[in-house]
Amino acid sequence: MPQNNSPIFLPDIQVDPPSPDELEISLFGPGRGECVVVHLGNNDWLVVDSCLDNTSSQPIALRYLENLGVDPCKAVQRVVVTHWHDDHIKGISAVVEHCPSAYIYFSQALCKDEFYELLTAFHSFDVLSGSKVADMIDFERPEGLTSGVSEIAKIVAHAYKHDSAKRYKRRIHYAGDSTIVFESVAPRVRIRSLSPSAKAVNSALVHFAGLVPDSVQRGVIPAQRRNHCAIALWIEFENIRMLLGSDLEQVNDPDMGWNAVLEGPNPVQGSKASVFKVPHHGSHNGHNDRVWKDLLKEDVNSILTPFYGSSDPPPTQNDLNRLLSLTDSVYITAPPRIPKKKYTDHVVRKLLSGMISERRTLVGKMGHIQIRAFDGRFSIGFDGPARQVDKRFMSEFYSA
Amino acid sequence: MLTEPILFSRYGTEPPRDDISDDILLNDPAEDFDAEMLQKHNGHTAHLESESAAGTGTNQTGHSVDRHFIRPVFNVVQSDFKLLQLWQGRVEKVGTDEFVATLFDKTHPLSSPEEVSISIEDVNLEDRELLRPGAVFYWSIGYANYSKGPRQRTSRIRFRRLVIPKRKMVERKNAAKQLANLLARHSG
Repeated sequence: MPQNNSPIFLPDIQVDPPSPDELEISLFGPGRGECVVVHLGNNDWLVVDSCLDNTSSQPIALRYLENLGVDPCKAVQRVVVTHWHDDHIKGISAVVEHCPSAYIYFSQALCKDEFYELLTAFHSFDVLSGSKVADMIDFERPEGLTSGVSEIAKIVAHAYKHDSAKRYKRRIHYAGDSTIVFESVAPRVRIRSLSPSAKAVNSALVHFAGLVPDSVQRGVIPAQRRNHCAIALWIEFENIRMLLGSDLEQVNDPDMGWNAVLEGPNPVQGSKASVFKVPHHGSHNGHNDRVWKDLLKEDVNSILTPFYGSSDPPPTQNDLNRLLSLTDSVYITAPPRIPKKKYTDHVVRKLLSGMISERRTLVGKMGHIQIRAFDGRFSIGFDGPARQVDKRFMSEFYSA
Repeated sequence: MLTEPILFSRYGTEPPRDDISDDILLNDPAEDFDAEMLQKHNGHTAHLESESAAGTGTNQTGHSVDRHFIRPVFNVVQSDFKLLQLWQGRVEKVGTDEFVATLFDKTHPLSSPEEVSISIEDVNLEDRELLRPGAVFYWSIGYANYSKGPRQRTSRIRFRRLVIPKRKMVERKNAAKQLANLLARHSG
């Protein structure tokens, strides 16, 4: 059937589960945080990264699937942890624990000794005498200060606990620049990872070694910015293609980032992608012209999350203008900025204003972009603050 | 609101040491102080001890864990304190005059975290050596009524002084190796 890529806009998201041969991709983001949920047909689901629902503090993927009437315990077949940064990983260990059918995928950089040294530097695994290992992790750290490493540590402990209980094994798989993550026959679905490249993995290991504290002062790992070892995914669902860019960056090296994806095994077979999860919150350092030219359709549905914080948080006005120059179909889960948090006590407000030069709220309301495709026709619904980026949006947030 | 008399304590200048033995210390007084503040803020009362007891602590899962900190020198002043706001912070970046931190609101735990830029001048001289990315601190704002003096608006930033004992530093490398081997067995 010929594919018509112009979407139908719905007044809201659909709350019934998709039909067995219907594709769905849902992108969630509260301003800092990102999660992608994909229906792979026949009630099989993929969860990519995780963030928390503001009201319940549950992982949004679990809450959404339960709201659809889907049992995550049976339905989630794959959980991909694209990288371990705070804004992509909050609650991912709970997703893994609630989805025992799911294969777990980490970036290849996370299977190396350097990462485990980082892990043990910040988490007291009550470790390992011969083949026996306790599954205890240092939970004394305040909840708000947990880092991505903490979530990885919980997954590792969970995998061991299941193995030692001899109920079943939770295998952790590692994805590189050409790893098949999922395949099915009817509907015909294949998911392949496009990154990280071997050189990116090596670069990440050097970075990990630098993060291991050389002093005796205990702390937590500060928020990380490097995204060289993130997993980008190419999804084929019948004749529809999707590219999930994670936070993979464009770097000035032919063997790393998007350059390495483009020079690697060409994922485009049959057609280019109709849906693109824009990498790294639309920032310029996630952009590569050749990705748009070689891998994406001209009218690709581009979805992204913002990243609150920092002095010039992505996507900037320039980032959004660049995206709009490439496609008319740009959708974002939350506005580019939200009002500052208000403190009711005037003494607190006064002291704060005297001591702080800049203050930014990091998490807002959860936004949800839901795209479904049936017989080649796309429908798009929004929930929360998610909306289309168009002229009206730009004038609302960037008017002179 | 809190009007119970409490003891303020100020840290000494002893720097972190890599030869610290495992058996000297246990609780982090900065955490004790702020736990006390929060507990009082929530309507309970408990008095801050000027010296921590020796022994092991218990984590949220009920497991016994070793806790170590650099022994502070206490300079005790009697006062009342009314806590208005408490944050827990993580240092993200340290500049020349300011540092960037993520603040988690412990007074209103459901509210969003914030990213802020704070002047380094507002950090005690004794704590500045602890100011580095990843360091954890506590920031409280309130009123202090000193026994001999006026009521004052008070803002206190205090850095957590937990340290890793030398034995653990050595164990860490072995644990990393063993963990990598374990995961290799669990890899598909």
